Amino acid sequence: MMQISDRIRHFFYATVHPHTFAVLRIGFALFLMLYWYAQWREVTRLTPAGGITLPAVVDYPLWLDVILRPSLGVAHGFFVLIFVALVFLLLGSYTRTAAVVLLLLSAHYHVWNQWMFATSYYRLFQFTLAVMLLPGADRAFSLAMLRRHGSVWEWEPMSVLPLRFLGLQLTATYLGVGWQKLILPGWTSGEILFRSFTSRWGTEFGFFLARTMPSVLLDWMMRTTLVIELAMPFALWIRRLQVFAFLGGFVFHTMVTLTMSIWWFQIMVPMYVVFLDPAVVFARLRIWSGNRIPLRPAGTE
Amino acid sequence: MKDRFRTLTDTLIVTYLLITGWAFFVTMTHIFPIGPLRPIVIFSYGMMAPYQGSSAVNTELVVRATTPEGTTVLASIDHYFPGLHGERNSRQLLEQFADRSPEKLEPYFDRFLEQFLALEAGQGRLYSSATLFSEVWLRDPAGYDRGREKGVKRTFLSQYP
Repeated sequence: MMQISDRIRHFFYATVHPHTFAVLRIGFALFLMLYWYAQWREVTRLTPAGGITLPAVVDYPLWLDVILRPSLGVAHGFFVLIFVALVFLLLGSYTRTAAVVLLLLSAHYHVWNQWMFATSYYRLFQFTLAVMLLPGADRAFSLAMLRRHGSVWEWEPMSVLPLRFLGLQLTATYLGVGWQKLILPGWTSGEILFRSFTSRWGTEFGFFLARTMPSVLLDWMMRTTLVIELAMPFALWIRRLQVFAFLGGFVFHTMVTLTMSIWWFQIMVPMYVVFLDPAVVFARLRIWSGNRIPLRPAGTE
Repeated sequence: MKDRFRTLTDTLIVTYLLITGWAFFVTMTHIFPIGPLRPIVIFSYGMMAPYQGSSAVNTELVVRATTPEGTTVLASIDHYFPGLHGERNSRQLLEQFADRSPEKLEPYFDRFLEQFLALEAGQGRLYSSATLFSEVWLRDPAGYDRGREKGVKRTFLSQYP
C-alpha cells in the first residue's frame, strides 16, 4: 500500500509519456492562432486610426503611446510577432522561449487594450502558456525532437506536473463556476437563461430559443446546466465517469457558443485530454500513427 | 541540485494550491483580499468566476453630436470598439471599473467623446460638441433592439468639450 505522501508525490511527480502535453501544445497553438487572427481582423479598431482606445495606464510618458496607443503599423507588427511565436510553439521549437514571448505580448495587449474586456478565458490562456514554461511540451511531435534525435516521432519522458497544473485549474474553474451558482441570485429558474439569450451576447439561435421555448423547458435547461457544472470538477477525474463529463462539457460549451457567441471556452473541451492516463493516450496515438512512434523513449532502444 | 529543484517545485505546487483555494473562497463569498497577494488572487478568481448573472435590461451608449450650424444628430459609438457585440458593449460601458460612480467614470467618457469627435472628423463629419448618454431598455425575445423601439430610459453621462 502506498502511503498518502507517496501518493501525493506520485500524483505530482510521476514520470509519464509526453504525448498528451504535445497534443495539447499543438491544439492550443492552433486555437490561439484562431483567437489572435480574430483580434488581428479588428486591428483598425484597436488603434487610434479607427477606434476608441483606452490603455489601462492613465498617466504615462508620451513616448509610451508607441505601444499603448500604437499606430496601425506597430499594431500589425505586434500581430506578426504573435504569429511567429505561435508557429514556434506549434512546431515545438524553442517552445519555452515562444511561451515567454507570447506571455509578454499578451500582457502588453492586456494593458493596451484587453483590460477593458478582462476575461476569464484570457487568463486561462495566460495560465496555460505559463504551464508551457515547465519542461515537457516539446518532448514529442516537435522540431526539438527532430534536432535532438533525428525524427519528430522520437520522444523523451516528462514529469506529469504540467498536466496536473492544467487539470487542477480546469477543476477549479468548473468548481467556481458551478458551485457559486448555488448562492448567486437568479439561478433558480430558466429566467436566467431567457435573459442571457436575449442579452447583448445573444445569437439568432439564442433569441429563437428565448422566443419559442416554454419556460418549463428553460427551467429544465438551467437545471441540466447546473448539474453538469456541479458534477464536472469530480467526474473529470473519475475514469468511469469521464465519458459523461467530456460529453457534458462538450454539449455545455457548444450551447454557450451557439446561443451566446462566447466561443473562447470551447478550448476547454480538447484540454480534457489532461485527465486521461498519458500511457493510454500514448498507446492510442501509437496505433493511429501506424507504429511510427517508437515504443521506448529516444536513446533507450 | 536535484533536491533544491524539488523544493522549488514543492513550493510552487503549495503556492498554487493556496492561491487557488483562496480564489475559490473569494468566488463563494465575494470577500475580496487586500494586501500584496491581492492581484494574484484576483487573477485566479477571474479564472473561476466568468459568468455571475444577467440583468433584465440592455444598456448601450449613444452620442448626441452638434454640428457647427447647431443641428444635432444621434450617433452610435459602438462601431468604434472591437470584438463581438457583447464585447463592444462591455468595453464601452467600462465594466472593468470597480468604482462605477458617475464622477469616477466621467473623465473616461470625456476621452471617449474626444476620440469620437476626432474619428468622425476624419470621415468628414464635423461636430462642435458631443453629449454622451446611456440608453436602457427591457430585453425582448423578438430581437436585441426590439425592446428599444418600445421605450428607452436615457441618462446623461458626459459632455465634450
